[in-house]
Amino acid sequence: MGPWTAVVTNTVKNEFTDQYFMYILLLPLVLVAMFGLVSVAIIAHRVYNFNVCNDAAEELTRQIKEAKEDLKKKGLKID
Amino acid sequence: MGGGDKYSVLLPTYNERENLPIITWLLCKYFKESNINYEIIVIDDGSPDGTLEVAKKLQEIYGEDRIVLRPRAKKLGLGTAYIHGIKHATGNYVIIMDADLSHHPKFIPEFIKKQKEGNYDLVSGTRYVGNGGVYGWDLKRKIISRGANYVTQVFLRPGASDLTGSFRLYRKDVLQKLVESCVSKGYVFQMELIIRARQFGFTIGEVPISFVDRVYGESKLGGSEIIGFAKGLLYLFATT
Repeated sequence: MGPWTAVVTNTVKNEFTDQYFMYILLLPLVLVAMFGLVSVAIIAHRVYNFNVCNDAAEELTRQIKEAKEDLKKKGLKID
Repeated sequence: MGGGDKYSVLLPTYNERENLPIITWLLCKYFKESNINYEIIVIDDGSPDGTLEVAKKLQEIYGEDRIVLRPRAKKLGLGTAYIHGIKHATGNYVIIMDADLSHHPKFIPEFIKKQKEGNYDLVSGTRYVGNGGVYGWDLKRKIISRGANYVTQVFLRPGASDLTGSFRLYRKDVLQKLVESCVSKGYVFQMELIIRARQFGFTIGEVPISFVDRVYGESKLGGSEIIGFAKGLLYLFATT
């Protein structure tokens, strides 16, 4: 941020900073926007590739039934 | 497996009359199969649906050394439930999980194996790595979950991939120390536990888990939860 502030407030001034002043002024905004875009892309990718555990859900449903039957035998009735 | 170690499972319950017998059955099954010494501490916060009565019947079936009942009169937060549970835990390791069947006990032997492999202070289940995943989440829930996780990773660099999950194994003294130093509520509490763990220099192992949400469509994530999350994040960012 230091060098950027120096250029924007004209503390540092030369041919290069004069020529590209607008670009330099907007640079932080561009970087933030790029970071935002990359973040959205990463999140979208992760949402798309989020594992869906169908097998785990099936296994659990099976085991719930098994547990209920076994517990009934042991004397606990679940409705 | 387990050696001379004993594992205390803390199960805070509120209106889990239907799920408690199933989760208990599964816990006993996997502990027995892996030959692990254990106890299940049921901390029921005065459920009006009769969870405690069901727990008493389970105690008759599985024995008072396996099922320990430590009820409280009314609903008092998760943090105090853990403190209450730790006080009565006779194991040297404590396992924390939800009683609503979203966390499957089959992962516990994997947690224990992982803990011994790296001599970790805590092992955290993760939905975001490897074979880990979820079931029963709609797109909105996935986006919020992944988004919140990403933001947290960027801001806090926590050294763990699943911060809001609550399926974990701790050394008992480690959990004691963490719970005493954490003040947040709800799932921010889980985040704080793991952030403070890293701050204290405790080591963290991870095991991929599947999270099965059986109450489909009943999304608990609204505007107030998101604001709560943002506040929690800022609080942790400012204090680490």
